[in-house]
Amino acid sequence: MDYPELIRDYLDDAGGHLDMLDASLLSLERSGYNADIIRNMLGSLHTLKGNSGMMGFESLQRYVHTVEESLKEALDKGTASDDLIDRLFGAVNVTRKALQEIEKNPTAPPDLTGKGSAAGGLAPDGQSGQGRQENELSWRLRGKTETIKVDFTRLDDLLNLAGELVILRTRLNRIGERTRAEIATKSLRNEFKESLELMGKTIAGLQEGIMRVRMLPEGHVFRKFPRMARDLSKALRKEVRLVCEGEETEVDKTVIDAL
Amino acid sequence: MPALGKVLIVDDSKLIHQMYRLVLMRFGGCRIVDAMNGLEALEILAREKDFDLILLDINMPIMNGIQFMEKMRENGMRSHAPIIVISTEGGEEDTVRAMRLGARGYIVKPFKSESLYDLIEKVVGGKSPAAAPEEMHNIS
Repeated sequence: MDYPELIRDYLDDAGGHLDMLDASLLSLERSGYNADIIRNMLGSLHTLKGNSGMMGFESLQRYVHTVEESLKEALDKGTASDDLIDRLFGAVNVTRKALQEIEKNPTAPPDLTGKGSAAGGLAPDGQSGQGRQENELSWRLRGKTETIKVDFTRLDDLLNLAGELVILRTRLNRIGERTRAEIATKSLRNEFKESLELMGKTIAGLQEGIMRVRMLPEGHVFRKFPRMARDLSKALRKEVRLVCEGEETEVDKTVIDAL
Repeated sequence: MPALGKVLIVDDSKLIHQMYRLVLMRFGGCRIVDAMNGLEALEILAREKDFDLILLDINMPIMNGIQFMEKMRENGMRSHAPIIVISTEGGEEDTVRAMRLGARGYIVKPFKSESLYDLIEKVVGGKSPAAAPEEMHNIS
C-alpha cells in the first residue's frame, strides 16, 4: 500500500462517495432516469476509482471501474432500468464491505476479482438479487459518522481534564466558604468570592465548549435509514414511507457512533 | 534535488492533494496552492504568477485539464511553470493533446509516489521531460 498515513482520509472520503451514490440511486429509483444525477455519480465513481488505485487497492479499483462502465452505458442509452439500479445498490454494498475489510487490515485488501459486470452482475457471487439484502442491513448500520478532523482521543483527553477542573472547582468552593469567614477585610472577602464564581463559570463554559465540539447533527444517523427502508421494502415487497424529523438535533459523536 | 518554491496542484480529489503534498514535502519546504478544477486554477494564475510547477489532473468537473490549458493559450496567459499532467488509463488522446498544448511531462494514474517524485525531479531539474508513448505521435 502506498501512502499508509492517508488510510483514514481515504476511508472517510470513500464512505462519503458511497453515501452520495446511495442517495443518488434512491433518487433515480423514485424519480426515474436523470442524466445530471448519473453524471454526478460517475464523478464520484471516477474519484473513488482513482483514489483506490493510488492507495494501491487495485482489485477495488478494477471493481469500481466495472461499476463506472455499467453506469456509463446507462447514460449512453438514456435509461436506467430497475435491474441496473438494483445491481448498483448491490455494488455499493460490495464496495462498503471491501472498505470495512481494508479498515480492519489495510495491508490485505479484499480480492474482488470476478465480481465485476463481466458476468452481468455487480453483486458478489451467490449474493445477487434480494436474498443478499437482509445480511447487508446489519453491517450498513454499523457505518461510522463523518470524521471530526481532530484526533478524537485528544478531545477525549480535553474533556477528561475539564472534568477534573469541575471537581477541583467544587473542592475550591468548599474551601472558599470556610476561608472567607477568616478573611478580615470585607473588600478582599468579596473579591475572593467573585473570583471563585468567575472561575466556576469559566470552567463550566470550557466543559460545555469541549462537549459541543464533539457534537454532530443526528442527521448522520438518519442518513442510513432511507437506503435501509428501501432494501426492506424490496425484500418484504411492502410499500414503505420513511419520514425523518429533527435531523439537526446535536448529540455527542460517541452516541452517534453507538447508534 | 531541484528547489521548488511554489507549486499549484489542480485536482478534484482532496485525497490526491494530500498525496502530492507528501511527495512535494521531500523537495523541502515549498508553498503549495490548491485548486479543485481548471477554473479555480485560472483564477489563481490570474492573481499569482511565480509558480515553479503545476500538477494538473485531466479529468475534473467544471473545467478539465485540457480545457484549462486551452483557456490559458486563448487568454495569452503564459505560465513559466512547467506543467505535469496526470492522466488515467485510456486517456492517451487527452495526454497527447496536453503535451501538444505545452505540458512538460505526464504520468498515468495509478502511480507510485516514487514515480511522481522522479518525474518532478526530471521536469523541474531541466532534464528531458517524459515523451509521449510511441503510438501517441500519430494522433493528430
